[in-house]
Amino acid sequence: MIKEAHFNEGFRKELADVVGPDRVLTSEVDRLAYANDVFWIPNLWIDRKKEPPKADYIVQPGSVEEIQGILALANRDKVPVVPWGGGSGSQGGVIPLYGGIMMDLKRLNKIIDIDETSYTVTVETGINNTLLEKALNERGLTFPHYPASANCGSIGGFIAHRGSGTLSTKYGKMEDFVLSVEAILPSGKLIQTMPIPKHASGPGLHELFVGCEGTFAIVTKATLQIYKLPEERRFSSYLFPTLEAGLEAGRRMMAEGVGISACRLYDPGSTKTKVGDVLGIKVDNDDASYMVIGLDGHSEMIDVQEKLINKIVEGLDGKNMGREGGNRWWEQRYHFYYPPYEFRLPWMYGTMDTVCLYKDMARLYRAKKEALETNFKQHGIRYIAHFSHWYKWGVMVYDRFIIEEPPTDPYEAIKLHNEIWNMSVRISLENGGVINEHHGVGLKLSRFVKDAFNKDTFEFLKDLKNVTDPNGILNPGKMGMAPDAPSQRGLMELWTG
Amino acid sequence: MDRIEYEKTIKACRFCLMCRHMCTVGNISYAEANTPRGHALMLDCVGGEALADTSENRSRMAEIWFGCCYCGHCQNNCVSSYPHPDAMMTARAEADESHLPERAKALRAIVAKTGEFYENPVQAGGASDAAKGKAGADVLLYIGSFTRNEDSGVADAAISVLEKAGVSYTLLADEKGVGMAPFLMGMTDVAQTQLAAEIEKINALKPGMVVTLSPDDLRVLAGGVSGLDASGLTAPVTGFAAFTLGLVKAGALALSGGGAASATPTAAPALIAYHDSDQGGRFLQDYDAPRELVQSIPGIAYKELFWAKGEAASAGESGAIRLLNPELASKIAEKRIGQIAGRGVSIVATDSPEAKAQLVGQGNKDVKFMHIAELIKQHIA
Repeated sequence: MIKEAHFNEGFRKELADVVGPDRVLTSEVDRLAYANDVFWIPNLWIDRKKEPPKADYIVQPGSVEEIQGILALANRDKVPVVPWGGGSGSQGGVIPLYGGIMMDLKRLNKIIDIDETSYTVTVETGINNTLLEKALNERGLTFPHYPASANCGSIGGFIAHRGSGTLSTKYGKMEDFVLSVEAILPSGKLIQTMPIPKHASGPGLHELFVGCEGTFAIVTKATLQIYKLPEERRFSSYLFPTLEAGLEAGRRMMAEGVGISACRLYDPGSTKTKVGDVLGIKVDNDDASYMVIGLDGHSEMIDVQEKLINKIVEGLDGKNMGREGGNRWWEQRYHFYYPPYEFRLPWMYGTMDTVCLYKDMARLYRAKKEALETNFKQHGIRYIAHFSHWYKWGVMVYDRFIIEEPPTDPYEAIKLHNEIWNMSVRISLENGGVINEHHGVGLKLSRFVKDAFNKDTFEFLKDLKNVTDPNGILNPGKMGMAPDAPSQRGLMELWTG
Repeated sequence: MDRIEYEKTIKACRFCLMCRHMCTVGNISYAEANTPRGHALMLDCVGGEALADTSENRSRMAEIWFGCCYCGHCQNNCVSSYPHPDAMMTARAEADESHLPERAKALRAIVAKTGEFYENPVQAGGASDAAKGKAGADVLLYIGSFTRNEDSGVADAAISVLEKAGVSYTLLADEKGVGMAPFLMGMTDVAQTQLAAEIEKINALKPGMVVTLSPDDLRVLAGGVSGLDASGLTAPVTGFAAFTLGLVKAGALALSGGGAASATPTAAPALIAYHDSDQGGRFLQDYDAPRELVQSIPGIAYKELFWAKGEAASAGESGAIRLLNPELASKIAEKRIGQIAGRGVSIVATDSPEAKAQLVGQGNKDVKFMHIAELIKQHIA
């Protein structure tokens, strides 16, 4: 059982012996800076002047050896260790509910190798995503993973939660980029998966660590697929009379192998609000859905792709709105998620993204919209969505709820927040969806992991955790791995419903 | 900055990480407290349960405010252009004297005494003496505190260029600074008083135009620094590069190859690049004029650096960081050198004497760093 960690000067000195005294931060000011990510609950908590859970020690290792040294101490004394990449997650994956060590991995930021023959890059996982992308761009290369957290997230953070980027429809999710990883277990063992992911030499062990959210191991190195910068990136916009027509258009584009790099379909609510506010595109029709399509590669091929897309759109009574709106969307694609456009406190909000087969999506969307708008009507809830990561077999819905005047009492507000999430996840699962598509589980969805599997499968997942981390020190409380220990001020119980 | 804008900025930055990748100090210390989000979080929380209002916490916060290098990358990468650097300067101003880092206290004492960062500040000398205090000149060349005290060669070069172009110019007989030193130390009232006095002296000479050698001074005199009111300045103000480009375009100044452009008369032209300083680049976004000026030199080969304009790393010249924390300033400059070295350029020009000094200080043997006035002087036909 992990200890309820608290500051101990002797332990701080031991950590300082490993990483150097300047790399162990213990001031309250420094610890506050690691007390939240983008998860609504800790931000609400802080906004209401409540004390958030804080780590006892911020430790900044700069090498594998230092990480092994830190883990040896933590494992010996059963002190929790939370890995920190960029702190940009939306699921509370870095919230140190049990105190202990916050392991800030940003010093591990080297580009180890760029293979311009095989188009791979090997990096230390603390590297910032945008800085990696810029370094590759200087050589005419790209790592086309562009999530809204691109400027702050680290490669390790993206690997931890199996993230998606804006161009995932062509280039895939994070798990599709990863060829191999190096990871350190709490025991200090250094795991190196096979250099390539496609083989018939036993299970693909790298998958064990892609999406493990730092609960199995600390991922320290990764080899990733990269690409040549495309000759052209072209974006166009379309307007469909209904959401269903837009969904069908996207499905056909995928089924017919048009090869789009991005498809973002806004439901009528988002079309009226988000598209209008951020892009300045006003749509009068209350039922209409706005779509942006991205294509990249050789211009001649894009010309052909564009013709195929226009044919599909016309066949569904869609209207070609031209390239200007599409280009504006690309340039401002991150603006949707940051001030002043993003939802902000004191509002209550949450992104409940899920993914399912095409045959289930319209039903899932309608069921959730109706349930939330009916059951939480007295709170003035709004439900909006867009559809943005498309596969051959299905699509992700990035659906969100917003309550502009939530209860002022933080305990009541959190209770309401969790009730909405309970209903949302239940509807996703009942309609063929999963608990999450690309934001990860973290703390926010931890209680639902057991529902995502049958009993034996969940037990198997816990067994894996017990093998890799027998003392349960790694990122306790995340990904369904609730520890048998009290959290700081009982916040685990309150925050996770 | 006013209180409403300050609080709006803090609230916005608390929830945003869009500039995280470009935060100069955050990327060196790796500490979240050194990032705009971290700054805003603690400013928003101090005094509540989340962050107790203790002397220890106030001291650590003051250390962070005086550790921000004022490079402007956060504002430049902000979706909504929130003036986070101004918020940092406001935080410096509001920090209690007793909590300041020792180096900041010492600098404040010097600035309180002389108005500048120098115990015994000097005036521009030599060839410029005869031109001082001349009323009605076309141009008042504002030398600037750093150049007067640490790099007079830049002033001499600029004067040579003006004289060659036949520009009627003058200098202040007793430059005292436009308030940047006290402003950076959080002494806002002192800064405003100093600026007002300097403007009064400039106005008395009735110049046709004020030309600055440092983008810091240009930004202040152009009214671009929140909290410093330069509206009393009657003459227009511009930077040396933009003014000189005007001379070249008007045919008043002819440039030639040779000089720094090649090591020997028969050698291939040196590759020249341009470094965007913090104040000239991120804050004033003065990207085009200096590039056009460099490229107007006949026979030179210009190379645009990949890390340029808004994405050029800071050289660590701003925020008085080179005085407050020389080790940090050196690490910042070292990062910028990493973006320049190995790209084939042998000369890098910049508009900032302070940035030049920072880059020269790294001791790179393959690249020569020059103020743009020095480069132009070498190419006067």
